Amino acid sequence: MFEKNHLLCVYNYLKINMIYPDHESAGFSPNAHYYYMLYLIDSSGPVEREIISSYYFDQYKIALNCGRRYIGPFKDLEELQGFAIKIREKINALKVFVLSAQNLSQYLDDSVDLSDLVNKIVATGDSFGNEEAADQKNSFLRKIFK
Amino acid sequence: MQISNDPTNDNEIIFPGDNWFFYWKTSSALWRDKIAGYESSKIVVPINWAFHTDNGEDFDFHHDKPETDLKKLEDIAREASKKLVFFVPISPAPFLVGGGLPHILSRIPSISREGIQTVVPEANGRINKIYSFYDQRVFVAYRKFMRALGKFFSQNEMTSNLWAIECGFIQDEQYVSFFEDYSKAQHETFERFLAIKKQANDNNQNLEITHILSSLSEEELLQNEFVTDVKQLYIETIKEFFPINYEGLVKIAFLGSATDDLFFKMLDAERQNKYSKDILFCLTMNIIPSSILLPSNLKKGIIEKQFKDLVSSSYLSIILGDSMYDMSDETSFLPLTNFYLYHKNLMDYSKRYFWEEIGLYKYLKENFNWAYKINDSYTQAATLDETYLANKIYFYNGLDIYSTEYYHILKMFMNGGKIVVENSSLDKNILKRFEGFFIENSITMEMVNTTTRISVGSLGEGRLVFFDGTLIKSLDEGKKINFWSEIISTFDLVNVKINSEQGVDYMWKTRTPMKNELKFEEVRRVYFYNPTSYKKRVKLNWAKNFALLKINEEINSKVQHEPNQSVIDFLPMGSVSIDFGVFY
Repeated sequence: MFEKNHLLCVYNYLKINMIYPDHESAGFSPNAHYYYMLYLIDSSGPVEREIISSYYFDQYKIALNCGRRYIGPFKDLEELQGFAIKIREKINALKVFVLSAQNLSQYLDDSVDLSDLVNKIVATGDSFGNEEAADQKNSFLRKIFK
Repeated sequence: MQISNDPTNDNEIIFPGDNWFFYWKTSSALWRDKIAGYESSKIVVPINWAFHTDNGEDFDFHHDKPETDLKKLEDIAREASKKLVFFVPISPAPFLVGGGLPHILSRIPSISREGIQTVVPEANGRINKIYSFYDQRVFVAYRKFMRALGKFFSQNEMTSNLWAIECGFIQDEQYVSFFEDYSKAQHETFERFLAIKKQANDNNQNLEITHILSSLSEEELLQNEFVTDVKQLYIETIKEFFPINYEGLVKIAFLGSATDDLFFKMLDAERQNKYSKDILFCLTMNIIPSSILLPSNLKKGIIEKQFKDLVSSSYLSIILGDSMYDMSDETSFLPLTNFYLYHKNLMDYSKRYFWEEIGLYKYLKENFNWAYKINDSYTQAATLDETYLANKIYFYNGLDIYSTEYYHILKMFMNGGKIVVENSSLDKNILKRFEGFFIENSITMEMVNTTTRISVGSLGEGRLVFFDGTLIKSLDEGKKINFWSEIISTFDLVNVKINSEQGVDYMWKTRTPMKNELKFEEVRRVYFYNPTSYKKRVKLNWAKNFALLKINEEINSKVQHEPNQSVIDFLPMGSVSIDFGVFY
């Protein structure tokens, strides 16, 4: 399984049919495709909506307003990944795994059980580490074993 | 005989509230002992299509495998004074390998709304891949199987009730059916559906399909129509081949089978809290919650208690009809419902969240936890009985009101019912008919212009309130809550104010008073559950219409009484229920 301080992000590239006026002012258009996070979850469950909303507002200066779970829209994958990294830093996660719905489907198709699936994600998925958090953890451990 | 790759663990299926029997998992030589071991007099037997056929063409009901002999199973149950209730899936079933399709038909993987392959994480960590029911070959083969099974039932004069079941899960307080599928099979079938529609429209010289699909909501409407039609094909098939046994369609939510659960399991996240809420949500949506896919460690404690208190006792009898479960005890507690929120079509998400947008859903959640039902059927709850209408409020979105609903609202109003109608999207002709009704009956409409335009008509106990929801939508959350607080307070509902720490779930039930309780109009019981790993506290403010009767089963909890309130302290996994006599 994943480690306790790992964050998992699953995204998809979806068509947005109608948009709020705020979104238009931030450069989003109706009937266009954008990136959305479908899941952003760690061992304590989905990351709190308040944290996400606040960071999304910081990034685009518009309210997060796209249904209950989805997070977005993001203009490109880099922006989505950058957002995932910011959340990882905020919640002090060691690593965030960012994978597309298509990749996840492929992993699911190729896996027999959950540990098999996790191994595939860890081995081949895109991940972004938090060196600072890792250092903190290491220095904490060093203090214990000094 | 055991099938090793079955998604359920045989040791974990017998559980209060579920009482399912998987005939394909137990040698028929052991059926008698196993059936006799069930506490309940009614046993649910799901039909496993794949177990009866290898090639989708030939079916085995007692020739090759003795475990396929459902007549024998029915006879054994009768001898053991048990009744069987057969469940026939009309959707992929998460408790069966591949969703229940025979191996030869498991070709096109089902795809979820999010674009992810639909899978169910099993208790043992295995991944059960679900296959599409939209594949044309699947439907053709399904009909063949149902015809053969129906023939077997009629030739053997089997009399057990049979229900069509739609399988799904709860995610974000929403029922998601395994019938929901965005695979290529679904797309292809939808394309054919659109082509037929287009042809019909061309013949009628109506709009072009391309024009019809110009907006999201219209596309969604067509999708909804398509999904409903295909689902109906499966239902009609069962009706056709089981004319005597068929009882109806029920929705079942399998705890632990949501897409969320896949991630929760991978991340080893806490889930008991989620399942506790899912069970209560099911009760507000007329959905049967099932624990058969949960691992045994999660079934114990609070979840088990909730099933025992809320599901197995009276709820199943309501959903499956009195004939399914014994209702000999007239004084059984039934779920208390003060509010009915109507939706014409729950699959249209913009309508689904209408009550959230105007803040009503949040207000009810915070103040009348689970004492509301969200219905898409006007017949289930909207009875015209005066006693039934008391202490209840019916909410309608103007968009959903057509002639049938218009007449029903007026009938309820004249019988003392309390109805609230959002009128900004109300059809103008319907609005005129309402106005005409008030003029003809000399009912003066009281107009209030506060947060929004409100008009109120009264007739005896009956109240009909119209409000403009567009203005409410634009308010901030606090003002929305205040608006509803003011509106609801005018109805003088009888209830106890509960201040609960986040994480504690509670639900009210009600029953008629017994002989020694005749001074009360009704008896209510509130069930509290703390599914979290933390200590929690709940305060109940005493209400003048409530008299404390008794405190039941204090498990990891302690109730203390203070002036004007009771305080309940919960340890992790604590629960308690309290009975009140209520007079109006």
